[in-house]
Amino acid sequence: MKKILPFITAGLLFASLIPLRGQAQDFLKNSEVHGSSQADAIYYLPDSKLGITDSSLAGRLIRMNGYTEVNYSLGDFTAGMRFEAYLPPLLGYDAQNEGLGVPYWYARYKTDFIDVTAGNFYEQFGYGMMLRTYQEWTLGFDNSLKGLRVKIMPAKGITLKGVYGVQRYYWDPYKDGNRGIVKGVDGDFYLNDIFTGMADSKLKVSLGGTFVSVFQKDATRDIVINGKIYEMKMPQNVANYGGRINLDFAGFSLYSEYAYKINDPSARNKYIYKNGNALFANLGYTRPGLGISVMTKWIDNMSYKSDRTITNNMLDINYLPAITKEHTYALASMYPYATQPNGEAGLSGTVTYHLKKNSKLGGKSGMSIAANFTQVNSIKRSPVNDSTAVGQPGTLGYTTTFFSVGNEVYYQEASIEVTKKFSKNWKGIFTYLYQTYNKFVAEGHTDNQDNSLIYSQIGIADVTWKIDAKHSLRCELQGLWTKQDKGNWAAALLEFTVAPHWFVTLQDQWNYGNQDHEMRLHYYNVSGGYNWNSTRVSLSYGRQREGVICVGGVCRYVPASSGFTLTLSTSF
Amino acid sequence: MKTKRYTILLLLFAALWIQSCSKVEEPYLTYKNVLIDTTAHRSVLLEDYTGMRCPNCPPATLIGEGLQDLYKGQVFMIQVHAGFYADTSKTPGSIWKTDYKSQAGTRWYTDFKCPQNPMGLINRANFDSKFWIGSDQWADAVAYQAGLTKPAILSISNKVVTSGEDAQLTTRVQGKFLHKMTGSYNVCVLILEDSLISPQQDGATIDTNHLFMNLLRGSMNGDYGELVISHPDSLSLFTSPSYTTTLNRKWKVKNLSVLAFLMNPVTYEVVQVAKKPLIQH
Repeated sequence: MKKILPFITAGLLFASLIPLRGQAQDFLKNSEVHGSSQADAIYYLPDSKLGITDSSLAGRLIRMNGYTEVNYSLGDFTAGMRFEAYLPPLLGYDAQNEGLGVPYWYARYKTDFIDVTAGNFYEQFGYGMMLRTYQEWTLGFDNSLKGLRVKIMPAKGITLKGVYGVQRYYWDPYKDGNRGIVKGVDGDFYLNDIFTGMADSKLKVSLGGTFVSVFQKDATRDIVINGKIYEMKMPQNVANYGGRINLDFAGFSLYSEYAYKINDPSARNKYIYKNGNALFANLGYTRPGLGISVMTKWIDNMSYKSDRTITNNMLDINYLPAITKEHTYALASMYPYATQPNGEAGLSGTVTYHLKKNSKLGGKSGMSIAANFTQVNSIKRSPVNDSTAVGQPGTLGYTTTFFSVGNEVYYQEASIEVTKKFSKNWKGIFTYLYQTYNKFVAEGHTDNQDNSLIYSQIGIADVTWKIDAKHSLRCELQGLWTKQDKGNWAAALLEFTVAPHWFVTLQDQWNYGNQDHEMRLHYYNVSGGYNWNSTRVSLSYGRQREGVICVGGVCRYVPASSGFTLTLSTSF
Repeated sequence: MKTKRYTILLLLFAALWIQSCSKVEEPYLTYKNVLIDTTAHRSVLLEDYTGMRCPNCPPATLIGEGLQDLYKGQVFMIQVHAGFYADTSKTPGSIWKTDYKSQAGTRWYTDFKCPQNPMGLINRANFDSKFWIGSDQWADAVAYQAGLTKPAILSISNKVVTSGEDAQLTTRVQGKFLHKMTGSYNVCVLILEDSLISPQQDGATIDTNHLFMNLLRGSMNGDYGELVISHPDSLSLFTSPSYTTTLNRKWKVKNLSVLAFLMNPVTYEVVQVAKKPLIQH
């Protein structure tokens, strides 16, 4: 009997599977799998001109950053994961990234009423001044939350969200309160949907409110001041809350968000107990052919992290929006602006105008002009009393007036960009920029004791010649002129494309104005690549100049390097 | 009905959140009187990873020096110049020309994955799966390490022989374990220099006459030293080999010291430290 039992069991199992076969087929038919993958590998070479030697490379000649993300969906259910490998991380990425594994996974159930995610997730409340978790591959930045997220849409026009979890910190698992626990609720109310009387109104109104809190276990912390040890009281729960409004009327739009944070002494603000607040506003106007945008922000002591001892970009809970223009041209992005969470006041205005076809200036094909002006300064700070220095640890730090503007210039930029189609085959983009860059504020160090400001003028011509339906040639000529820092630069790029698959690029950046003649280096690069559907492979050889790369005001330092780079990316 | 129930639940949840707000009232600081017995407790190696171009480093160094004064004879601080802010500048007219980096310091900065300056290692102990901690955490970490039992005593003997402008240093380290310990132990012998004056970024200004103390010049016996004893018993003795090096002519002998520390080469944890100047003042 015992001998035939397995056969009976197997037979029953097989029989039970017969009616499921049809369901299994449906199951597979309705399932969808999507994903993406990228690998960036560099073979580093010594380059004596750049100060890179065998010993500075320490044998780690090949480095690679790579990831693969897979998402599976079936009806209202979705699940996914991302595998990452930094073996070791490319130069300029934080060494703590080294390792491999699955730092991101989730399961999600979403209907019209409820949306629940367990695992890792990215979330943003409003513009993110109270909470924004996101990933930026080019920065090596990921502050995803691992925990639970619930969204409820109880009525048309109302979205309520709640999040609870801990943030990713490289590969370190959460244990024993080694970082804070983040909790947040957010409500979004679109009044035109909520009130039937407003349904047809030309004025569109949306309101939102957010409350976020982070818990950190330490109630006290020892601090050394003038050779004496003091015990500091620490707020275990730090709240950050605020509201937002979005109005839309006859081509005009206004978005504004305000955030207030309670006392949050941290390494970033040098352990002061002052509260923080921030205001961001964006006023826009659009009509055919014209777009106007004015942005302002005022930030005071708004670094908000789930570990108060961290001073780099990791474990940021909130995001302070950048109002400076992000540039893609090499020399225009040489001096990028980094948001200053401890305090800054900024104003930015952009006008975009399209000159019509067959007009005097517009010519046959018309012409677009975009002008921008941005300035970011410090905020005014005064001592809290006569015996306390501004920013003294263990005190309120300083006092300030809301929307006060200090005298120190952090960043200034005036630019004009003209886009013109000369004929069916010729198109050009011409840009002029004037930048003032406070190197000390943006990078935390300076070469010039008397003045850390760098004044530069930049001119760019980007011309594309469409040779025929398949072939095109693009040429960029750039110049940067400055009397400070490393002096003048010139850059040229030539890109030949055979659509839809092949491209070859030759480029060089030449620091011809460096006062040190030995450092008048060429940063040459030759690259080629192949695109096939959503897959791209490229190989390049050349030098990378030292600099800072910023995305949305969040930056990382890039050291000078030399070598071969292989990039592979695909999505499915 | 279902909608109402979920909404009420979420509002209740939101109400709980409002409790998540800890407003701290003055006074924020309380003076902490530290009683220290340096004879019975472990000595502490405080490695201050710094750079002359680093604006936040001088306050961190002050914290380290403060702890060194407070725990006199028990805390030994070394300034390790490594990382981006310790690089000399190629920018024309730049004042950052003095290179204080050392092979050992650069290796440690990489091996211990220091993310930036300033950062510190306290007896190379592990904090939340990492070795380095910010200067605001040094006081807590030093207090903990300084409260541990002393496992061994170390003594250093130096001999300097000069010949013209050259000076040759020979050093030997001897030790005695006070308790039975597991694992192996390396002794690492470093040369430090005091009283160096050169520019240092300090906040928004540059201090052109900054005084550098306890600056790491290099290691005499490799980046992680050399094995001297395994699984020592109580009262186990050891003597390191003699290490000889020709001193760099730019270094001032009267300002040099030898610092030796005993370290577990597997966990990297430092269990005892000793320091001796080349010339007794």
